[in-house]
Amino acid sequence: MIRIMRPAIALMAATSMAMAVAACSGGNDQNENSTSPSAGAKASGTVVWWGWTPDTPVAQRYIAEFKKVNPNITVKYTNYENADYAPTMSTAFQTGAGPDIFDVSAGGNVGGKQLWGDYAMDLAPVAKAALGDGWKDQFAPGYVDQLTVEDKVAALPLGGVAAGFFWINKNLFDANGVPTELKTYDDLKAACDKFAKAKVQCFTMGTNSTDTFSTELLRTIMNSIDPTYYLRALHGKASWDDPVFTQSIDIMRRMQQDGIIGQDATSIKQYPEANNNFLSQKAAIVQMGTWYAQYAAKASMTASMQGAGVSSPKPFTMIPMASPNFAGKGNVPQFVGEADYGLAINEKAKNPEAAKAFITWLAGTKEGQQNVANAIDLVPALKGVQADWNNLGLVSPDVQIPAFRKLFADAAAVQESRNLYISAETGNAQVIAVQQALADKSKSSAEIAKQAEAASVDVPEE
Amino acid sequence: MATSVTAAPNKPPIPRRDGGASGRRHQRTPAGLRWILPAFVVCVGLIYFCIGYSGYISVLPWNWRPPRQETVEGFDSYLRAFHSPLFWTSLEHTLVFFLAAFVVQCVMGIIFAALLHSRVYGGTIFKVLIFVPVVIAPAIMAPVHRRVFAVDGPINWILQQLGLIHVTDLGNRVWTEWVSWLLIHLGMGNVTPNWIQPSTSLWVIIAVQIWSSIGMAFILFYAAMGQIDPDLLEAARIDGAGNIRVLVSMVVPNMKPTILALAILNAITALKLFDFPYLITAGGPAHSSEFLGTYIYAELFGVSRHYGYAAALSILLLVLALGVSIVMSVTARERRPVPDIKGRRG
Repeated sequence: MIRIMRPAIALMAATSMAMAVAACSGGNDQNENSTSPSAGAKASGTVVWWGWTPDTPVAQRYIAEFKKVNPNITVKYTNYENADYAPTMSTAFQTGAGPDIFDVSAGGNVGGKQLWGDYAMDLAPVAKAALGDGWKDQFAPGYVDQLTVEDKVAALPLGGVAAGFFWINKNLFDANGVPTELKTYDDLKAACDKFAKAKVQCFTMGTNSTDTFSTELLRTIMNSIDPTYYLRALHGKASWDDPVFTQSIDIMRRMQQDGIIGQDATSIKQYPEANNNFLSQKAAIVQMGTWYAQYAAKASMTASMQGAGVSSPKPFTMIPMASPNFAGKGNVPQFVGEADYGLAINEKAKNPEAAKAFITWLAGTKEGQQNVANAIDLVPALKGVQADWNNLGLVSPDVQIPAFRKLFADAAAVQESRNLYISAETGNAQVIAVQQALADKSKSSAEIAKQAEAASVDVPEE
Repeated sequence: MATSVTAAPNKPPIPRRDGGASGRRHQRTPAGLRWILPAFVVCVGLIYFCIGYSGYISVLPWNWRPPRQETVEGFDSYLRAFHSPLFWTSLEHTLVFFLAAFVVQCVMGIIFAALLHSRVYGGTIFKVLIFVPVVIAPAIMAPVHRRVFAVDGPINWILQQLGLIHVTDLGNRVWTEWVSWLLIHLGMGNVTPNWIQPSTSLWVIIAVQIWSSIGMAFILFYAAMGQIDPDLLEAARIDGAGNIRVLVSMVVPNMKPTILALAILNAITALKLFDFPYLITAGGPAHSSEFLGTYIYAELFGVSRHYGYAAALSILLLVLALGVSIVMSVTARERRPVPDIKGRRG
């Protein structure tokens, strides 16, 4: 998963959530998955952790909680921007100067297991030693397999992610008399017309980047035409120059023409510009995944709004909204998702024992996972762990808690993978297709689709 | 060639410091070698080794995944580059960039230099203002330029105030009717007031580069103008030449070496351009502002991580840069005037 890091936001989030965690975890008994202080006490020293996620203050909170049960281990976390992670990692690994612990995701171009899994040690024996024989079943279905490379468990999952829906500013919706459920293309168009009259941008998105955020909308549209098409095409069972693809391009163009997609979509990036447009309330809708929930709490939203350039931020209520049925064929696009990222241990780690203690605590204990859950950044990887919704300091708990409970339940039950089967070439081809759809009217949708087909590389089904 | 007709001058014999074996050793060892040796070793070790290593990697079929593949596959990566439309697109963008940036820099640099040689009031302030963009890092200015060229940015605001564009009910910026008509008849119907798009993104990069480097051209021309013999200009004026005639017929021809130096600098800048396109447009949309530098980076760290291919592209870039520099230098040397020969004959 790709996102921007906002230390300031997370600093405030961490403060508030630390209080929440303290409140909810204070009375917890040591459960069956707990790592006892004595287990951590076997290891000591410093562990270096590199990642593009989570935000630094969130990681610091994880580390602080870990330190309480493992006082002899110091974890030093360095957060890299998405674009910097791959260059830094590849250079470090080439020179043998990599970290002890590093982020690995199921797919994608930032931390995909296909890129970094080769440098990771097999964590299956580590997990088995910490969690017992049935360790795999203690995680959400599929998460461990999604972080496995050629029978090697490259990383233990911290949590999952889901996408394929939208986030809306409920305050703006209410103020302009727009219903918070937009079920069809016409509903969306009518909503955008109302926002246009109020000089509010309806839907913000950024395509001026090589990241694959913009392709999420394309995929959502494809799923509204044929829910089976995208995965079939990824596996080479359907062609990217299929009519489903060309129709999706046409719908995107229509969305731009109808003022649903902003004119600036080709000149801005999803992060920071589109993100800032939404957080500064210039835009009413943005397409992001479950990770975006982390900005829903008062403290984190205040900080993130300041980061977006709002001088006197007044937190607003953001809630998820299911995707409209773009194609009018009755198919409501479903969520797509998978294990978001996990933590891997470098095969050449300088302090592997301490690294194992940290990873098994964060991914494999209920205390560790409660910290992850309360950041509302991830769907917890460990079964039975949920965010402490009542103590997260949400802006409008009455509205947001039911919406978030449903969102995270749906995300945990997701059936279709998000990035797992998208090859780098296919992802890039779709980024180009979206850019051409919105910015290059000299190319027909059929030409764009043909080009995407030529540039894509299929990934066989596992 | 001028040099071929030049008789070798009689050189005085090099005095021998002493005789015997020691003397012969001194003859074989270039004077001052021991002084430049540390720098030489650092240069060879850090720069030329890296170039050589890139050359080695370029013949490996190495697509990132470790361990590095050691099997030499020859020049497949080079052939792939020659067959890649994106490689040629990048080169085409480089050429357009070079021509546009060079011409505008020359014209504007000469105009600024001439104006400021004319004892303009507040000349020093103007010199500073013109030169300041040169010293500002691209990484600092890129976000500003992104904002300047944004749909709701200052450029479109100015165009809106001038009545060239208007805002629709949906909030989009569109050309007014007559501008639209004009653009269509000029074959530029796909140009909209959204500057980061395939038809205009390259020109955004060119404009930004000109903005950031015109100060350097100005300084070079300003210095070159200062070296022109005032008697020459005075003679032209006595013969009745006006300001423009003096500038075109006397000043500019005397600044040919400066123009050539600027051409070489611009050519190399164009070939290795990376910062502005990467930071402002990311080489896009849809590769519309892709240059060799961004293409190499994308292959190395972006989507595909084709190390061997990226190294081959880097070597091609090196060859191109060297070739362009050599061609330009040789061309300039051949055009040098003859007085040198006359002087020797005399």
